[in-house]
Amino acid sequence: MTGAPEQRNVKLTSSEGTEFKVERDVAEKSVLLKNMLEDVGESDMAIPLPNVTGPILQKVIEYCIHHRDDPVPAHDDDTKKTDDIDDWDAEFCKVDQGTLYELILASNYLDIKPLLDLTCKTVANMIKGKSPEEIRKTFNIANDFTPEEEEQVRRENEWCEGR
Amino acid sequence: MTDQHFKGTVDKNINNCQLTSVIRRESREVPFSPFLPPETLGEIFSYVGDDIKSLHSCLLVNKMWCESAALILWRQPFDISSIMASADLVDVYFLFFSDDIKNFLLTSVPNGLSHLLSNRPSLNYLSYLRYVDFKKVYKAVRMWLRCKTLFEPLSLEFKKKQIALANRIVTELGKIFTTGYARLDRLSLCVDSKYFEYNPIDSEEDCLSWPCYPGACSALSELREFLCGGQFVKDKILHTMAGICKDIEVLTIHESADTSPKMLAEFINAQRRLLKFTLTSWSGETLEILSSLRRQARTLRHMELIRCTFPKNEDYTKLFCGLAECRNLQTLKLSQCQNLSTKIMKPLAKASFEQLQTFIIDNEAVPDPPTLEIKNIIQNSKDSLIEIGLCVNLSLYVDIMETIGSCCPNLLKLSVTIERDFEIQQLITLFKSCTKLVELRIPRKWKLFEVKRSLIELGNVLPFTLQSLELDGLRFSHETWEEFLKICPKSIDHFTFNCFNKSIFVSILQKYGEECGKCVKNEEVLGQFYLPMQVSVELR
Repeated sequence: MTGAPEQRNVKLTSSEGTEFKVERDVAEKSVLLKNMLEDVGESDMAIPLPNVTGPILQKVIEYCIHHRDDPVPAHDDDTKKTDDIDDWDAEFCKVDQGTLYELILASNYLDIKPLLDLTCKTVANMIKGKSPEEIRKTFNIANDFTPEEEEQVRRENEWCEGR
Repeated sequence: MTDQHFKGTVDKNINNCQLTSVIRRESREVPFSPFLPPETLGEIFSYVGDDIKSLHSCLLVNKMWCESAALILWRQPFDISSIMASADLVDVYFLFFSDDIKNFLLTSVPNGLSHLLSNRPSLNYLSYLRYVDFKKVYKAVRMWLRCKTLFEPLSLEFKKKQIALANRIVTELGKIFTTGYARLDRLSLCVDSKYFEYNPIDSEEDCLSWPCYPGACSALSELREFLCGGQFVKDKILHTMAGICKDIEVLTIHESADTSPKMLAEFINAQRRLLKFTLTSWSGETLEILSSLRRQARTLRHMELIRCTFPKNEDYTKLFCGLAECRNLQTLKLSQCQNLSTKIMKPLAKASFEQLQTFIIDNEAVPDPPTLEIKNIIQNSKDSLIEIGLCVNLSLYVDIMETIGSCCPNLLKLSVTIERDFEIQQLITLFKSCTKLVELRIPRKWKLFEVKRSLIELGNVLPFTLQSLELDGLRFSHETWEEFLKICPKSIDHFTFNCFNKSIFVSILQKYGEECGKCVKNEEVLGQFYLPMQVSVELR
């Protein structure tokens, strides 16, 4: 009887060139990295991630380590709930908006579905129950509609206003 | 997003991609900070999806958000709007009609467009449509017409004109839904004869045969789900769709109404990967239809036959041969079908559905009930069954509970009708080996079966995993109920039972809950002066 095979570390390089070493099962939470590792096979070469900065990669790794033993998520669940965020995940998402958006982009790029779901749910919760003006204020968005355009969109979509 | 941005919306040659890029390009001229990545806005909004009011707020934030939110809101707008509000949808889709059609309809409904500011839509809402249900569109049109003609005097002549006009508008909507920019995933052509008079004339375009309109190919070629039902002959629709749609995954057909089985078989044969097939109220020939399932043997997971009448003829011993080849079947439901005899069921007894998780059979009395066949289906499932429903005369299936007990170690849900004391004893024997059950249901069949001692015996053997207990088919006194609950496992959170309008039954259950440290969740059943005959109580 032999024990569990020793995990090889995987090297990742962030956009600024910072190198991160992670265990292979942690890296494989990313479908992008999993496919790359399968294609490349055993290699000591660091995988460059030019779209992810060091601090964001650090956060992504933190998430993947915490969720390393989670089962593979079921494919395309029709029921998209936003009230099922556990305490650790909620704490993880207590970051400034810029970081949250970068986490969305990174999880999208690295193809880490549970992290993408979590960050999108967090933003969705920030949207729910707000008026257009409150949303603009929360996300610092400029209104580029003319008053006439805004009124026309409002009228064309009046059917869902009272729901 | 001025009129110029959407100039030519009603022009048949409009290029939607170009339009989208115009809107995006202009939106990017506005500086946002920090950026909420536009490519993930759709993903974020899908989590807001159930909160329509918030999505409506998103529409009005800016142009970029507007387009992303509209993509979700206009996917299946008739499903998320109320009937009253669905009339407003007709207003917007009206803008997509050609000028000729608009002018024609506006002569009949002069104030047809009074609600909107412009005669051009802000966005190409039509291209966002993915699911449309004829019944809901028809109701929306009738509501729209009613709103536009509130002050018209009511008369028979007026009513006739309204119906003709509604049919014309629904026809035109059907054309833009199936031949325009839309790419439908799901289509429902199901009509309710009480509400909708459907008498198509062969020589004319009829308002229901949307797939038969010239040019329907592009909008329907990616269809995944198709429902067609109602008292009308479906031949024309099925034949046309067999030529257009090859990737239907979910197919539901309600009511044969003289539809040719050959046409339905042709439609099924044209599909490459049918996953789920439901056939309801089919009283004609079924051999050809069910044999066509052979082509779907690799993919078919779910099969339901409801209120179908099978022939008694000896020739039909091969009726289920095609279905028997669907080895990946996970759900098999045969409900209220006529003449489901041992001869007809024989091929299913030889089948090996090793992935079967749900097996439900609700069989009327036949001279030769399929006792052995049902037993064989359960035996051949090889431990995979997690849900069984047997609405049969259990006395004829003497060792069925023993079979379930030995062949279904993973059973979580069981529904079984009880009409005799002997049958409840059969059920009691099941729990010697069935230890994981989560849901037990004893539904009503003909009349309520009165139990006393045997209910308490049942309570004594129920597994500690049980969470839901529905006793719709049983009658018992409150004394029996009290005694039963005293020995029941404390794990049950959901009860449905006949209380015969008496609150004492609920009080006894409340006491059971207190002993388990739980209270009644649906408090409205407590302290009611008049209770219904049957109640459901949730504990937490």
